[in-house]
Amino acid sequence: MNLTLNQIDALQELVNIGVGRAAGVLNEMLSSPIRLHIPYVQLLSPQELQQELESQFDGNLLSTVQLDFHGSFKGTAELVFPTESASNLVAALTGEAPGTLDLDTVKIGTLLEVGNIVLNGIMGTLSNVLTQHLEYSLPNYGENKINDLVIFKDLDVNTRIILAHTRFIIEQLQISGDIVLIFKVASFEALLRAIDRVFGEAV
Amino acid sequence: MNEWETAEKEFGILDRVPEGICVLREDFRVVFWNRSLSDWTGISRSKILGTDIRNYFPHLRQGKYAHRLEQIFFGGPPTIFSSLLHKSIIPCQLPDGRWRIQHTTVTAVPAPNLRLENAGSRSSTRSFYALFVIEDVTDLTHRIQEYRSMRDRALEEIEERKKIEAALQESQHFIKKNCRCSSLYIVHS
Repeated sequence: MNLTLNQIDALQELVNIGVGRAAGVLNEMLSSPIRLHIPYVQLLSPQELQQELESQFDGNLLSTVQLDFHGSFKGTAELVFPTESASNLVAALTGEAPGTLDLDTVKIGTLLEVGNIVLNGIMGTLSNVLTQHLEYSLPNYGENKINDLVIFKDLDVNTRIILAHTRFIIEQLQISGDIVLIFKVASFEALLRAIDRVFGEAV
Repeated sequence: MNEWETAEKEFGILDRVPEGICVLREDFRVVFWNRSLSDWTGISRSKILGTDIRNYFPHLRQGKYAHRLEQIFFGGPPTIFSSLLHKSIIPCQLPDGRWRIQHTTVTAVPAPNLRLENAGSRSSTRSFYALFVIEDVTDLTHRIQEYRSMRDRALEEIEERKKIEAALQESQHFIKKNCRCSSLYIVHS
């Protein structure tokens, strides 16, 4: 499936608005301002996604937050932090000195909240702008290697994956890290129809 | 049956859950307040029902709460308030005087289409309520803190031992060297 330029622009804009909203919420909670880069959006097949993630993260353990949604379109949104970025982010949010990479239950709760803020920013934007009501499951935290990511489960030939890669920077604390957002959209045509309706048909 | 009675019927089973649970309407009025929260806060259900929760807990007016809860009233995704970042969403103390540390999950639940009992304020149909599930993680948090300080002390001790070991090895080396020099001196003299 190929996307039109309009559709790619629309997706990029939706994710960008969502990430912007998430940055706004995070800034309200942090004493040091956080910047989230404009995400780079790609549409990939599961195999392409696997290759892309392997090239970025090798075989490292990744911290992930997943949110399942269903409604007029259904799928999973998954936020992936490399462990070091996750640890740095928790340290920045809690005011602890960065250093130890181990994440206990309480720290995991913090990461779950950060993931929740970013995913809600994006899912909220998608739902509001495209005027689609979606139902959501509770967000889940996991630590997995690339092959075990939830996003790769129950895939069928029509599944398309939107990959958005962004980076957070907390300049005052000289902390930065990568965030990868993955959307598995099982009913991709429905999503595209909604995008076309709101942003106009591709020429 | 008014809105509060309907809510009590719908959510009443949550009185049997050992978590703090409350349900808010989009204007932040409390439509349900479970037994655990009554016990934790000392605020009875009959007193808080139908009132704006922000009168009791003014911090909920802050943007970091209000902006995130807005989405819930439109049926948005669940929202997490973690214990490390917020300590407690409904501040209250344990019998021993410590503050309860809470991990909170807020989800949107469809509100029954009801007319407000308070005819004076407004009458309209509701869309979504916010269901707060508040988990007390005080003990867990303190245990983790204790474990961490024990681990940090152990790591410091290991570092200290390594330094002592290195110093000992150095002095041993020095003594050996001196002994060799002394024995050479004795042989030559």
